[in-house]
Amino acid sequence: MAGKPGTTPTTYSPSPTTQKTRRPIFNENDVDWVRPDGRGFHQCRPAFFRTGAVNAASGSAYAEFGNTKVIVSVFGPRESKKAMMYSDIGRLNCSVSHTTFATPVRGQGSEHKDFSSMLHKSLEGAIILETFPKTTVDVFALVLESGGSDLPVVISCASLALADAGILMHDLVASVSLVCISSKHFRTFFRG
Amino acid sequence: MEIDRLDGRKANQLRPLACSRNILNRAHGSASWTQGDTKVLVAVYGPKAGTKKNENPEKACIEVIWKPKSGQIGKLEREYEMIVKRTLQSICILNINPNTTTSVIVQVINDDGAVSFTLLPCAINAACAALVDAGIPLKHLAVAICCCLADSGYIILDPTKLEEQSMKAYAYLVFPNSILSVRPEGSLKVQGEPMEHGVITSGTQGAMSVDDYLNCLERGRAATAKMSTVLRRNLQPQIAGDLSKAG
Amino acid sequence: MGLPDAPGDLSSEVDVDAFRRLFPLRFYERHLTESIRPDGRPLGRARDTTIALGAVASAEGSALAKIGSTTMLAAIKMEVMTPSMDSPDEGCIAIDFHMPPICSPIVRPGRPAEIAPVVSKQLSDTISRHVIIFSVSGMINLKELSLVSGKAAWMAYLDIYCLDADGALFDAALLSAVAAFSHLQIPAVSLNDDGKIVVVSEENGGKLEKDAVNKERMKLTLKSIPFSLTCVLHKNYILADPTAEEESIMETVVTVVLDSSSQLVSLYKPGGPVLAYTSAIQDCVALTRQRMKELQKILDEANSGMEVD
Repeated sequence: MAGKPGTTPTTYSPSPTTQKTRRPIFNENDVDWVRPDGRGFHQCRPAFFRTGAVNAASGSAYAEFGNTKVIVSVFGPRESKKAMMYSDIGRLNCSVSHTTFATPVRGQGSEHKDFSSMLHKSLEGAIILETFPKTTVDVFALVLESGGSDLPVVISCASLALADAGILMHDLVASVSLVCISSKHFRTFFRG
Repeated sequence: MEIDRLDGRKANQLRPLACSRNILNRAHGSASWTQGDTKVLVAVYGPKAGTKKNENPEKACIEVIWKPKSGQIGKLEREYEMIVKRTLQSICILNINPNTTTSVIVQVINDDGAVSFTLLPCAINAACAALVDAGIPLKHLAVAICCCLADSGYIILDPTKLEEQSMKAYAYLVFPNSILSVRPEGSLKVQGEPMEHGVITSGTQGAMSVDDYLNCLERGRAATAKMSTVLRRNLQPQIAGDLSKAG
Repeated sequence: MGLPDAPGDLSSEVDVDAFRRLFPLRFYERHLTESIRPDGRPLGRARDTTIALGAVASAEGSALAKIGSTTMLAAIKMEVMTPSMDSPDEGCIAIDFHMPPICSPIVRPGRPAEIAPVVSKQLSDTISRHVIIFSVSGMINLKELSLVSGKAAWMAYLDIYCLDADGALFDAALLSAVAAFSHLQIPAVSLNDDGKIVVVSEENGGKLEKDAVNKERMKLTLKSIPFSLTCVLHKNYILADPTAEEESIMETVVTVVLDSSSQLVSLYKPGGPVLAYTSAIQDCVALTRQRMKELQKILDEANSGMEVD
């Protein structure tokens, strides 16, 4: 028994925590329009998609944007949970979680509720729920490594996994996150 | 090879066994099994209608709940639950009561130590007796034993907590008991070996050579043969099963 | 099975896939008499196995292992802890095995798989192999994880995620864990003024640190690496490295773990309808010996591939 279970000692990460004075990424009079990793302002990171990553699922996809790595599995349409009410249209159930090693400091690996509901919102409009009444389609995502803009990668990857599972959709869903840089503050928003 | 054990037993000698049945009147079947200072109480409820999700409804389902002496259950107890469940599944005739669930609750009453290896064999023996008490159809009984391998290479059976600390490896083994039959061909033979030589469940901890493991198997088989007579004697209805000894 | 026996020649009339779903056991037995499995493997052969090291950049050591379609991702994160009083100059390893809902249709969020804590426990038994009070050290010398005696030591958090579950979960998990340890690079650290351990960053690495604890990144020495093989027993047949379908149809599973010095680390058989006789056990051990050589080679190749980079 490695380190008696239940009595895990408190630990801390030795990596230097965010420096107190973070240098601004861009100076106000920066006019060369190039980001630290060499990308232009309107350029995405190199992307990689592949469907059929998980054999056990009805459909799945793997996506990699720079260091952000995501797997999405789709199960169903399958029997809804017993407690669910009768429904004329199908249900969509989404869950997004991170691995414990996804972030620089070790996390808990629990479900990310915000991401789950946002993923649900982005997908429900695209899926033709009328085609699978009474049943549920489960979309599960796992962020293997978080390298920034996790949610848009999850959304794009999930739409691909749904297509791989043969779920009828109006169209694929693509997603990107944008940052608006003003002189003082940052703001992030998503586009479905 | 003679070695002295702390409590004066021989290497192959077990601690005094005690098995009593029908000790809880609300449960459908119950039994307690005592081996030295280790004592386990098992209650069986069922068969109840319906199976749990992810279980095959065409067969009877067995559910095992492990209750430690104190504290919460952790990974270790989850593993015990799974091992006891799989072991009981292999001795029960699951086709007779399809789509039912039988609950087996294992309560540890006294444990020889924090991580005692005799605990699991004890629980399996108790669970087996409790299933008989509840009248669940069984193919045969299961008899479990713990073997220990010391640094110097000798093997002792049924170790106490103190002995366990100075050992380099353990194995717990579960064998079926021999089937008694009036007809001589009744005793089954598989691949030239009698049926009771087959291993139902095996688990080890610590490193040992393959030969040492096979050696443990030999010793375990010999000892379980004796234990199975004790168990059988206890389970016969005319004897008010309470106390008996094995040597 | 509760189904009535189908007439023998039914198999020639119905579609193969239908026959496979209706009479899975008979479908398999037909293959077994021909000494072949539905996926084209002979009985004793394991599926194709690959290891990719360094799959996760945010961890100090990581590996992705694939056996057939069973996929495991293992990553090690190193954190600092205060060692216990009993062993002031030893570090610690915490192993956890996760089955996220993506890996199998039977796992759902909020209802973890029954098997996950069992595999987790088996992995910690095999890797740290601690026997109650005095510790017979296993693969890793915990003394190597010490930083400042009595003050600071490494805590290695090994997390293994099952990305795709298709049988032989323990084998793949153990392989990925071993590979992650072989890839692990312990960062160079020093003691700062607050008595905390901090990583020596690349930029101020040039500066002379007065309290450097680890001067440079280092690797652990791994001795007696454990390798495992799971077999399914059915009648007299032994099927190495079963798929999830094989495990569910033929329920008797035996897992043998041997280490590189050929010691038996674990022989695990949790019940099952088939009894294991001495000859079957010896056959399983022999198959594991063979498999160990294959796995050792695959691991060595993965490691030498990393050195070239």
